[in-house]
Amino acid sequence: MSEKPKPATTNADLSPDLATRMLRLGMVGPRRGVDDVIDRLRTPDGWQWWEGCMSELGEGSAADAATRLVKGRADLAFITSAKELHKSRMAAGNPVPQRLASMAAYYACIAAALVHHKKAITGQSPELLSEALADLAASTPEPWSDLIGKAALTLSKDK
Amino acid sequence: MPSDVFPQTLSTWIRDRLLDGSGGGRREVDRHVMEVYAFPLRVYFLGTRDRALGEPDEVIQGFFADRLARPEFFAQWQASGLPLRRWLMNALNFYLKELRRQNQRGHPGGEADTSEPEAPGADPAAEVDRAFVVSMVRAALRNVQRDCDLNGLGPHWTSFFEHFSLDRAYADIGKDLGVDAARAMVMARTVRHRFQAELRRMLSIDGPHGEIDQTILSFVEGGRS
Repeated sequence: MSEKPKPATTNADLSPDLATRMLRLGMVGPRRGVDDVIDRLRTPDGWQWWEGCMSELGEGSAADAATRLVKGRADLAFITSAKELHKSRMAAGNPVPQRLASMAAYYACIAAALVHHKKAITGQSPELLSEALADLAASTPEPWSDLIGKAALTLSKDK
Repeated sequence: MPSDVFPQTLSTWIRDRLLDGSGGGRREVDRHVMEVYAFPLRVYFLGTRDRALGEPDEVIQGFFADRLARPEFFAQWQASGLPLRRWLMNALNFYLKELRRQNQRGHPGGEADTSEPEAPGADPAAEVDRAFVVSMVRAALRNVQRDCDLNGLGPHWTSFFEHFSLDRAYADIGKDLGVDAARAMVMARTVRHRFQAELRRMLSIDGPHGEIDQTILSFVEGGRS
């Protein structure tokens, strides 16, 4: 067992300043596109749905897609073209299920490019993208959560 | 109890529990009110000229025992259109007045009120708001921590609390938990969602409010004064 003293993990002595800072965590801000994906992930078959979305990332199953994107076996050109394809499918004219599935794939591509190629393949602000990826990572199944979480941390100032 | 006693606009959480005929719902509401509002009311009491009326915790408990026993208490709050913390503050004022009268009756001839007047320039509502934020955040943390413990998310709680409350880096938290920094961040984020939902639930109970983000901002701005 480590001898190093650990910080307290109770909230018995909550100062007004800290309480106000913690209160800020209650803000949700304007609704983002990724929130629709997160809401879908939180339904009973959410993770199954996500796996289905991932299987659209090129040929093969979700497991194949995971191997390519999560393990860094997809080159940047493939990831970028997949991201562009799914970005075009997110267009307003498409049915909601299609748009949601494409948004899921879009974020997976962005995360893979950040983690394995150190490349931002979107013009979104790093701060907002980091927040979106962090929230998404907290709702996705493994191994996607790990990939997306690493991408979020890459961009985050809050480390 | 007829279902139209509590209008639809009453905090849904409170309304649902008050309509539960078993009494368990009412007890749950009372527990919530005592847990979240005892501290701000105590702060308010200590800022009044009535603070000599008794030991603060005893006065506040006496207030709860008296007012929460009244069946129409929450329906009257709804009719007031006030946030719950303001309604309770006003109700405490009336209760203190009653205590004062009782004390005077118990001491014929009436002793002069020798307590100090309220501090000039003090803003009791702002003080109550600041105390309400502390109390609500503390209760939300406690509830979420309990929920995490019950659901096997103890390490997630640790990551959340140590990062957002103690400002520890995810890399350091991760070392303690045996995970990498990204995993520690995702674990903290999982709990952050629960904490966010719990805070928003408590704020909606205190309603009527406008948009909850705006309400939070107004508390944050108030906390700076």
